[in-house]
This record gives sequence, structure tokens and C-alpha cells, in this order.
Amino acid sequence: MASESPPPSIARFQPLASCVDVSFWHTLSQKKLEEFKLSTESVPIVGTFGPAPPVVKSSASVPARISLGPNAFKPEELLQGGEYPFWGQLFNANTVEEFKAFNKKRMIDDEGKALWKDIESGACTEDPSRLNRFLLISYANLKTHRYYYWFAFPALNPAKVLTVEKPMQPLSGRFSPEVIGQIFKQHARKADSHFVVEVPSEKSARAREGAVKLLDLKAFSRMPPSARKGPSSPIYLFAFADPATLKEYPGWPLRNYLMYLRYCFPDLDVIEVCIVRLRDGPAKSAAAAAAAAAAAAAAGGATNYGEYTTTGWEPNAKGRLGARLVDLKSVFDPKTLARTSA
Amino acid sequence: MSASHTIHSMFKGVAEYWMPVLQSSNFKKKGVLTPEEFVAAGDQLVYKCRTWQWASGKENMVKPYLPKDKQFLVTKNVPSLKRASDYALNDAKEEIVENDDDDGEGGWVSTHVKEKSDKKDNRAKVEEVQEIDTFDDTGGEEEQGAENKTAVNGKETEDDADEEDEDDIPDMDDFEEDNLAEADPGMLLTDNIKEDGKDTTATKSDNKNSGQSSPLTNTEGKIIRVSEPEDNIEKTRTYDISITYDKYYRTPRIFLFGYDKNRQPLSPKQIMEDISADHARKTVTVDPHPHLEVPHASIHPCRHAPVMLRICERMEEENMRTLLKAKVAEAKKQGKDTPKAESLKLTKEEAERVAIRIEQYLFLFLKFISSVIPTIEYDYTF
Repeated sequence: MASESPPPSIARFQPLASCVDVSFWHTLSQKKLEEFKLSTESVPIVGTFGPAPPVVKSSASVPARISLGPNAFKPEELLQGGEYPFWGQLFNANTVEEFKAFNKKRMIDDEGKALWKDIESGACTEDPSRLNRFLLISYANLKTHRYYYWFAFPALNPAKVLTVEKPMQPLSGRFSPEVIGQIFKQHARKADSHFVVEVPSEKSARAREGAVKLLDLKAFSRMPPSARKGPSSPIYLFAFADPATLKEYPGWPLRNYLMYLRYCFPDLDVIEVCIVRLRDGPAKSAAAAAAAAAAAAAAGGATNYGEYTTTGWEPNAKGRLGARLVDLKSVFDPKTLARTSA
Repeated sequence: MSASHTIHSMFKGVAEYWMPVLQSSNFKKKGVLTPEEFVAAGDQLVYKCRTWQWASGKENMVKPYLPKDKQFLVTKNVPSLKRASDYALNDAKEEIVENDDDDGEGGWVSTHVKEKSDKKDNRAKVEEVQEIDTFDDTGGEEEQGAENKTAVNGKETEDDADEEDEDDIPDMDDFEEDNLAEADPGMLLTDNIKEDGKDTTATKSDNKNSGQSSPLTNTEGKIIRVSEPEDNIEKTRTYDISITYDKYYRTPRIFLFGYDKNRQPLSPKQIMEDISADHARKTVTVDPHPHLEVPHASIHPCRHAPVMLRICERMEEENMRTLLKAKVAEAKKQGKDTPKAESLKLTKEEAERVAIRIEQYLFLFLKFISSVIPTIEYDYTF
């Protein structure tokens, strides 16, 4: 168990699992016929994650899922309440050979570079959801209704291994229920993927009122470092919405977030993170409080991309690095359909 | 798809086009909803349960009588841990409740079918159970297979794609790329993700001995397998459930789409395994989703309105009874042994409290649906 392990230990993150709706493949087929035709240009798409389903039994849990639905091709469309975006690029091949020939290593490397450029240029400060991104390569066989696909969730991986100073702990051990309630209430209103939580220090008079504030990263980055570090200055926690489902480990999005924070706030020795997990279920407030956790990570970050590698191709169902296949013959083929439902 | 069902679907499509949108509330009399009431009830469901969301569906399939961004309700990835056969006992109990009706006729399961062809029904049930049993066997094998995966590589894909054309099943091993594998100390290894080319069992037992007690020995890219949490991830079937508004029957309608643990879509036959035997062959059909086009399994809504009406009435009765009991108890406290009828009369406020509000409709609807599909774990909210 994480709580027993002596610090510092290597930071580990729960990988994301792709989760594609059949309606996405359906839309892809239509677009392939009507719009893309033979083009293999990348197409912007968007995946989402929302609140995890409640724990139905304590021994079972679901993977951290990123879903692609029928609206994945309309990134400009507003997301439904309570959902967070993952911005993606779709590369759809025309033949299975083309699909195999994609240079996966270069693709993920390019994506890592693009991400780093966004971090350096401040684009991620403007819109932190840019830290959450993915690649999808696919080949849709419209005759057999078989879809080959492979996801990558690029994560910047520093040469120096990330360590955890303090294992993840429920936020309830540190703040009062009112403070946690405030965080969740305000977050529900704003629904940012990444933000900063400001909790007044105990000495300050405001603490009694429980004045918790959520700042966006833009506002936080404009604050002079002295205002963040004074003896009576509030406690600042970097927060993000986490699709992960494991109690002891943070989710994949924290990797890029930590690299971003390391680059933008080099004066911080240790980055303390507040992990906001939305889980549906009875007794919402209590469950929510238990789900929020704080972990501190000393990021062994770097200041130029040369020190990073980018990883993140999703393993297949057998756990190896490889493409996946979904066979939708039973769903799309009218003949099979007529036979099975007769 | 049976011919009669096809004809009925066509008829319904035409009729739906001509039928006026229901304007006035008939929820108390017939158990039906207007589109506005459907939206109100849906808003409440979304507000109370964050896993339910409004969706807009495909652009060319927008129904004009519903707001563009509130075409139907959807919840995704709902785990289904067991098959319907595991719930057989519960089903029996629920059935009694369902049929406990004055006229004995209006039950969701049309009762006369049961009485007349009891034997036939039983036989059908036995068949059902056998079918499920065989499935469970293969399921168990598969799961075992997943555990000692080193032994059965490639078998799983075959199992999954065992549709008609065996001739051109692609070998997904060809799509694996070893050159991509590089040390990623940040990746938490879950049960199905393993390091390439290493003996999994050895890594696992290694870890059990050392645990995380010496994590720093592994810094040079060697990956430790964390033994505790990954065991908690149980891969199960999942369902995407949506509730649409059926203009013809003027009730909500449930559509299901299932995936197996490897995210392959379930065939209609497999979905039937998750539906209680009494309903599986009778009220569940495969129809195109009205907002997504893709065929989904659906519970036919022809009996939804009367059933919902009865559930609402029973609910109100129940509320009334508890309220009256409380009132009688109060009256007794005050020393009156036989409270007069007038003192038991409900005030306007009380009557409002007893009455089922339109916002509760979808919660009750889900409750009813959960008796039809006992295997899907979403009835945690009400």
C-alpha cells in the first residue's frame, strides 16, 4: 500500500483507457464517404471524461476512461455539463497497409513537441485543457465493418524520474469539511479542467469564514511570487479534474500538468496537487470529500524539450503495444442484423 | 426482426409524423408525458445524478418538439457485473409485485400468456438458463485466460470475433509494435498491461515480496508491478443507456448498447442475457436509435404508460398511508382514541407532499426499468 511506502517513491499514474462509442465509428464511416474521401490529413476531434460511476462494490472499479461519442467531430460544440475535454487528432488511413505504416514514434514525438510549444508559449496558461490531448489513428473497413484503431495519450516523460514526496491522502485529513465542500461547490460552477485552490492560512482572519477561492492558472501566474510565499499568505494547491479511479494513484493527466507547473513556476521546490475526482453516488458530499486527495510531487522537470521523451501509446487488450480492432458487423451489417434479431 | 414488428415500426413512423404533439398534461390520468414534462423530469434526473446527461444526438435527427440540446438522456459505461440468471430469485419476487393488481390484466408482463402457457414458459426458461450457463462457462474460461495470459495468446481475439466469416479474421498480433516499447516509470501497470517479453508471474511475485519498500532500486527504467490496486479493476461488461422521448406512446423509452470487457459491442443475443427472462424475448427489440441511427436494443414502450401510472398510484398510496399513520399517531397522543374523519382530512400542503411530482417520473421509470434489466447497476439514486 502506498501509505506504508517510505518517501520518496517514484510517481506513478493510472493510464487512461480509450472508450469509443459505436456512434463515433458510424459518424466516421459517413464522414469518410462524404467528406474525407481519400484525404489522410489530421482531423481535430474531442474526447471527454465525466464523473465516474459510483463504486458498485468495493472490490471492483472501472478504468479511467476517455470517451469518444457522436459529437467528437465537433470540437467547437459546447460540452455537456460536468464533462471535461481531451483534444485529439484523428489520422484515418485508407488501407490497412497505410494504417500499419504510420510512424507512431514520430507522431507521438511531434505531439509532445507541440505540447511543449504550447507550454512555453503560454497557450496552456490561457487554456489549460490543452494539456489533455490524444492521438487516434484508424482504418475503417467500410465493407466488413471492421475498425482498426490505436490511441495515444501523450505524456511528457522527463529524463529524471519524478518522485512523490508525500503519498496521496484524502483532503479531509487536512482541511475541514466546509473547505472541501466549498472547493467542490465552486468547482461545479466553473468546471475548469485545471485550476488553483486558494485556502486562507489558519492565522489569517478570513480562515474562520472558510473563504476558499478558486483561481484560474492565468490569474495565478500573474501573481508575484512574494504574494504566494509570505508567512501569512494563503495556501495554494494546484488542482485538476482527474478521471482516474484508483484510490492510491493519480491519473495520467497529472503528468503533463506537473511538467507544465515545473516549467511555469520554477520557484516551487515541491508541487502540491489537489486531485478533484467527481464520482456519482449516494451521500454525494461525503463521497466527494473522500475522493479528493492531495499529493505532493517534487517534479524532476526540465526547461527544454530535449530533456523529455513522450510516451503514451495505449496497450491493446492483451496488454501489449498494439492496435485494437472492433468488429461492428453485428451492428451495422443489415443482413447479419436481420438474421440475429429474427 | 419479425415481420409484424417491422410493419408496426413503419406504421408508427408514419403515425408519429401526423400525430399532434401532446399538449396538456395527462400524467396523472394515463401515465404519459408531454415533451415539456419529459424535459422537466430529465432536468431533475441530470441535477440529482451527474452521470446522466442531456445529449443532442445527430444533427439531422433532431426532433423539433424537444430543445435542441436536450434531445435525450444518456449515461455511459454503466458496469454490469452479473448476468440475468444470477438474479433469478429477485425476479420471481418482483414478478409477484408486478402482477398484484386488481384486474390482473394490466401487468407489464401480460399475465394471461403466463397462465395459459405456463409449461411452455417454463421450458423457455430452462432453455434460457442453459444458454446462460454455457455463456458463463466460456466467460470463466476467458477470465482464467486473462489471468494466465502467457498461456493463451491469440485465443481471446478469436473468441471475440467468432462471427460468420472465419476466413479473414485479422491477426491483431501483426499490429503490435515492439519498437515503441520504452521504459516508462510513470505508468502504473494494471492487470492487463504488462511489460513486453517478461515473465509476468515472476514480476508479480517479485513485487509481492518487495512491494514498494525498495522503490528506488527500480529507477533505471525497470518497472515494478504494483500488486494492490490493479486487482481492483475488474473488467466487466458495460452499457450505454439512453432515455428518449417516444412521441407515439408519449412515454420515455430506454435504449441500450452493450460492450464486453474488451470493448467489443455485444450482439443482441448477448444483451438478452442481461435482461430478465420474462422480458427478454417479448418486449425487447432491436431498433435504430432515434437520435444516433445505430441499432440499439430497446424495451418496447407499448406498456410503459399503464405501468408507470400504476407505479405512481402505488407510490402515492404508500405516501398517503404513511402520512395517515403519522396523523393517527399524533391524534392518539392528544388523547383522542378514535380520531374523527375531518381531522384526518389532508390540508392542501399535505396533499401536495403526497402527490408524485412530474420531476419524480424518470426516477420511478428507472426503478421500473431496473426490474426488466436487473443486471445493470444504475439504480443507486432513488
